[in-house]
Amino acid sequence: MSSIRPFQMDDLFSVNPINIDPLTENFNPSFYSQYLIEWPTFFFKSTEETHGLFDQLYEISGYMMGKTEGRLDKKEWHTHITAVTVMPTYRRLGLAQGLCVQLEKMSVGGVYDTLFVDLFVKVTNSLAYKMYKGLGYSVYRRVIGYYGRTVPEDRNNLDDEIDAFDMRKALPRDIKRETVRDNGEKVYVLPNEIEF
Amino acid sequence: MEFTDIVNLLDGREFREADSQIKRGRLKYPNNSAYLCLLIYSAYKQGSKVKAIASAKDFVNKHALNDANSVLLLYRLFSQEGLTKEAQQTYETALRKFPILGPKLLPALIEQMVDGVTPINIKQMEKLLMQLQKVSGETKDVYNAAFACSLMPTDTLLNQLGVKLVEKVAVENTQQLYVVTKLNSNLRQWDAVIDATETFKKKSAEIALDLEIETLYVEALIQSQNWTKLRIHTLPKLTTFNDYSTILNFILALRQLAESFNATKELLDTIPFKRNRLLSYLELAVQYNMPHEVYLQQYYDALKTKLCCFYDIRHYPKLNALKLEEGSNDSHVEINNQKFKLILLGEDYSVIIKENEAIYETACAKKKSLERYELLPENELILMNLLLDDNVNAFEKTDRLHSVLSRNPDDPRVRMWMMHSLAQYGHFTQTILGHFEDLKIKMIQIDTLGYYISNLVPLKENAMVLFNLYRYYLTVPSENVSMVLQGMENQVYTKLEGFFNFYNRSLNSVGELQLALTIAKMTTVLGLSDYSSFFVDRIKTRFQLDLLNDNRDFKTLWKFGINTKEAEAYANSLLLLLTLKLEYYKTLLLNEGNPSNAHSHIKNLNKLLSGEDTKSLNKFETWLYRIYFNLFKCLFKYNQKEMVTNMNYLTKNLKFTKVMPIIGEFSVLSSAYTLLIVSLVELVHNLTGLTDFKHLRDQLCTDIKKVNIRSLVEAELEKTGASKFGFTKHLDNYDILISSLK
Repeated sequence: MSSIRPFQMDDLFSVNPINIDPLTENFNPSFYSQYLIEWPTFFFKSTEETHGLFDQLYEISGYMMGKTEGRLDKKEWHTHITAVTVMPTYRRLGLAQGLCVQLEKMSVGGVYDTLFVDLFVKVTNSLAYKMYKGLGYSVYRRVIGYYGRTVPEDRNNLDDEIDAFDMRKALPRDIKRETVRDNGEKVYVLPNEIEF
Repeated sequence: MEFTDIVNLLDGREFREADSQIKRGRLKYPNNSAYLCLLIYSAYKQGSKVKAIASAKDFVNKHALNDANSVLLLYRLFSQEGLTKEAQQTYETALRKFPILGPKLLPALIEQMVDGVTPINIKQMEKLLMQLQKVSGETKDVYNAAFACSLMPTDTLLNQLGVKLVEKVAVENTQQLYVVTKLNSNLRQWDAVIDATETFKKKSAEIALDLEIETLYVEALIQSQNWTKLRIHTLPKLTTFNDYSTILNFILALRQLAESFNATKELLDTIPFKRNRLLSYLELAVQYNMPHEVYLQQYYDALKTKLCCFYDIRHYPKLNALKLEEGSNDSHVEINNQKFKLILLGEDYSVIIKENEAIYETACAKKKSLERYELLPENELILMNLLLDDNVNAFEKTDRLHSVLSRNPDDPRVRMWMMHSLAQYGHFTQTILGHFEDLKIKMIQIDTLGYYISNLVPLKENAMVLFNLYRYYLTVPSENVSMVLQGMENQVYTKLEGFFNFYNRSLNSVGELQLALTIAKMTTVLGLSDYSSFFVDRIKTRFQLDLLNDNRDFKTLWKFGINTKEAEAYANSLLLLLTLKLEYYKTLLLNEGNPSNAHSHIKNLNKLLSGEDTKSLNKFETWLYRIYFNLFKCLFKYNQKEMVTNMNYLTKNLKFTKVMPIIGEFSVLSSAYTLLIVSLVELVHNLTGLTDFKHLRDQLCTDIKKVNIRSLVEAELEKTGASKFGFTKHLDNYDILISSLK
């Protein structure tokens, strides 16, 4: 019975069942508030009715944090998925996909009207890779050492454990689909080359 | 030296330099009221609060403040003391007499109001913003003022005023539209909400409305019983927006329009999202008073392999008609079935417990090793057993959790249960800390889950861990200030209320106070006086007990659908906060130099110790706080007539022989026992240097040293057969603690 609601700053007091997960990052409050201030519509949550349990109307089952960045003249104006996460009980239901689709819809036309949506996924995270593939994303490039602790210098030094795939999905504004490409897995870049 | 520089000196507790600057200023400019204000503020910061406040009140009554800095300073002083009326009067009088101050004073007051120390006072905020929009006339200020009006939903006049303000200014973006719809929604002017939203949509069709506005619009359609519009609004969303609330509103609209069950169901058939579609059938049947068993079964059959299945349908009245699949090989089906059985089969848990164990063991045998970060869903069944099985003792339960966690170290909830379970024993606080660190608890989680490590034994390494955690509370106030001010500057009205709530809830946090008190206690025992005075100062200046916000999370632990009564009882037991408040006043009094402040704290302490809640204290706690209460009355000569009685009380009761019979009632393995020993050691440290009590202190110290905790614990372990659980691991901590007594 998932519903989509706007995320509010004080929701942070109620996201432990999601954020206690070792794979979900906990940022400092100002990081979240910055997203809410700059991209208020791109930060939303999925909720489940609790029928009065713990005096809550609903519990938060997942959330999406997104932003826009890049220059249009360089064909880099896009929506970026910063975090999408779902509580274990509500996984394997397509909730994360639903949150991604919602973000895509918000990115098309209107105030933002971006060229594509992108995200980073660990090379070894095959589950997430498959999910995004299913949603129409493809690998644009492989970012060497993206999750590493040191700044890599050799773009041919591949390491599945710390490399990330930069995955993209072109949106209707990119009529010629210039922002995506085939065989992106074979295009290697360093983290400093992906800044917008 | 500038006015603000002197204020900074006072805030930085550099009183000597500040006072000399004030003196110099007063000599040079005897008629400048700013220096008099600084003098009052200096007295306030140096602890003479009562006197300073009285002087400030007197000053405001006698002088017309003509400089913005003085107004701001006195406003701040009154606000920090919760004297809202006086704070308001300060700037209102100044503005009335010197309107020229307005453009400079008002924005500064708003900024000062969001000071990271005092909660945001919406009423005052509204007053300031209202005056500011009058002075500036800028659209931004008009909307800010109108938005502030909307934050008081029951104040009709204010909301009407807000509507009037924005009527003059065209709505140019969705954030402004939100203010208009919010005000009208508060006034229950549903047609105005609908009209404003639809006009905006017509004008700016390409702009998607914020979810907050959508919610207000739908609410307006429902409240105004505009069922046709609600149908038109929700129907296209059924196929494009996976949102259960929309589906419920669609069903409501069609029911009100007297659409038949079948016709409505046909439309619901178009929903492409399976889970929400199947649930919509169930809800439709309930709403139309039709039998819902068939839809319940349909949902179960389709979603039984998902962990949400139980939670989605457990509340439906005909749950007992559900035919559970038997002999399934799917682990999620088995887990759901076990939860359903718990509801359906009544109180005999023995069968369920046995089955849970068998399912778990089979799952473990099937899955010899787990991937990194993989969670074994069957862990939940063991958690269920721990709650249901009365035949297993606490040690065995902890041991069982330990084995589950060893197999699946990445399951955060099992780790939380491990901490919860270990918390009943006093000797495992270091182990709890290890689990806490493994969970990588940080940022806001420190506030919500930090209470798990509030009973750490005083050790230097533990103090360091707590200092590091406390850093969160040092950075968050300034982050919150800039969040609120930036939110207002950017006019993000849809999020501002959430910002205000977050800001306010971060202040006077129970989690922060608990951590600060633990550190103050720990540093006293460890003799880390520099740290101690820093935290005592925080406790003194940052908390108002009547405004405490309890952000601690007691819910995550229990989120597996059973035993909510136990969960509530557990949470309620921690909600009383009496010991926290007693510790607060104890800490203040141990560090108070001003007798008039001390008398007011003693009065508050007395109130707490005479209240109904004291029933929740154990016998040792009652003894301990009575001792402190009498001690403070003697030290601060609270009541001359009672001095002899107070002294006699201490001579009679401040003895280990008085504690001995009480101690006997605690298990030496319990956390209450550890807390007791720590509190006694702290008491000895607090008595050190008080000449009148030297004899009592020395005797208590000698008696505590005689207690051989190690042998007591070992004997108890032997007796209970719990030796195999590794309780002796942290016994050295007691030796270290006792050795701190000289």
